[in-house]
Amino acid sequence: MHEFSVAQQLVLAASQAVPRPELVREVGVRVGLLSGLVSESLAFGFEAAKQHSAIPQAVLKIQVAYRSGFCPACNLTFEHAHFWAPCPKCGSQDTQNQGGDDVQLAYLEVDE
Amino acid sequence: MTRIPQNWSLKEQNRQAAKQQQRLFDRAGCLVIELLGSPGCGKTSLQEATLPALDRCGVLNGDMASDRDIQRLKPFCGWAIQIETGNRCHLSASDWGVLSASELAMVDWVFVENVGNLVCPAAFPMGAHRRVLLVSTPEGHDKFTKYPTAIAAADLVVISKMELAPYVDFDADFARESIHSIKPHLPVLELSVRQQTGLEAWMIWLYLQRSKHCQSEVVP
Ligand SMILES: Nc1nc2c(ncn2[C@@H]2O[C@H](COP(=O)(O)OP(=O)(O)OP(=O)(O)O)[C@@H](O)[C@H]2O)c(=O)[nH]1
Ligand SMILES: [Mg+2]
Ligand SMILES: [Zn+2]
Repeated sequence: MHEFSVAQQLVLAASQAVPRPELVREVGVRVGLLSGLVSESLAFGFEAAKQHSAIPQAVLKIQVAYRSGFCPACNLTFEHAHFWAPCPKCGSQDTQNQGGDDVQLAYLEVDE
Repeated sequence: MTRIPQNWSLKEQNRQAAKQQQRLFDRAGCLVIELLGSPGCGKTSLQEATLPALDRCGVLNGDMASDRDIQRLKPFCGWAIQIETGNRCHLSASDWGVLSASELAMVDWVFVENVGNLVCPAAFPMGAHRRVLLVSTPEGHDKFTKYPTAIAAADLVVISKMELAPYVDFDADFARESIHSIKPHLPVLELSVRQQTGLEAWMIWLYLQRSKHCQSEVVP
């Protein structure tokens, strides 16, 4: 629902990250499966937000990010798409879960 | 073409803004409680039942339009401020800009009613010390697993309109189980503002948060 305002924040962050933003060709973003954002809407919002910005040439590349679980008993790290998930190996409910709930600017591709 | 790694994060950005805001609250010595939940789940009604029992309160209310909730709450508090969010679906830390330092100094408790919405406000912490998720029984006991972000963000779940539970087939045990499948140990209170049940536990929870907050208060 608030994809447009997130897109605006991304455009601003990307514009301020490099000395010559007009040379930014690609904006690489990781969108968590649990961020509550719809990637298509974010891409749509980005197209609108980049007009009249410092990075009008930039193309948005979205990569989906999963949540990562850790089972201390098995010393096992696993990916999943829930806030919390039991260990897939031993079934333990005592797992630590993190990530997959954020939107991150991962990289910028800049023309030489 | 050169690839330049970046580490900007939306969550971190929002967290910093919220933290900065929380420092202002801490300095003013007030405890800020945010209420989240769908339209009509009973956020304003719960405040109407709570504020008369508390001294020195302020209220901030986010709604897409109209100041009806503020009119309802004004009689019970030092100040009541409405933020018409227009087409925004959530409040954010910058919305506190409408408050002056002297207004903050007037109160010990601040209640913030976020826009009635189970999705967006959860992702935008405003710097409240505690976030309370309200879900009313007519919404159904399966709502919790459908909106896990709201649960993950909450410090307490209040199930409201409990007196309606038998009429809407609301299974409180099922509700608790699904809440805890998302966030184990999250406290859950059941209450009815209409029948004035469960309100003592809610008041106790509030005072407990207040004393915890006073103990941990570090003013930098
Ligand atoms: N039966 C019953 N109705 C209640 C209870 N608490 C609130 N209501 C009713 O639920 C309706 C909505 O209550 P509000 O307090 O306005 O809900 P809200 O969450 O503030 O709504 P928005 O601000 O529009 O998002 C009103 O008609 C209240 O009278 C309750 O304990 N039992
Ligand atoms: Mg209300
Ligand atoms: Zn295991």
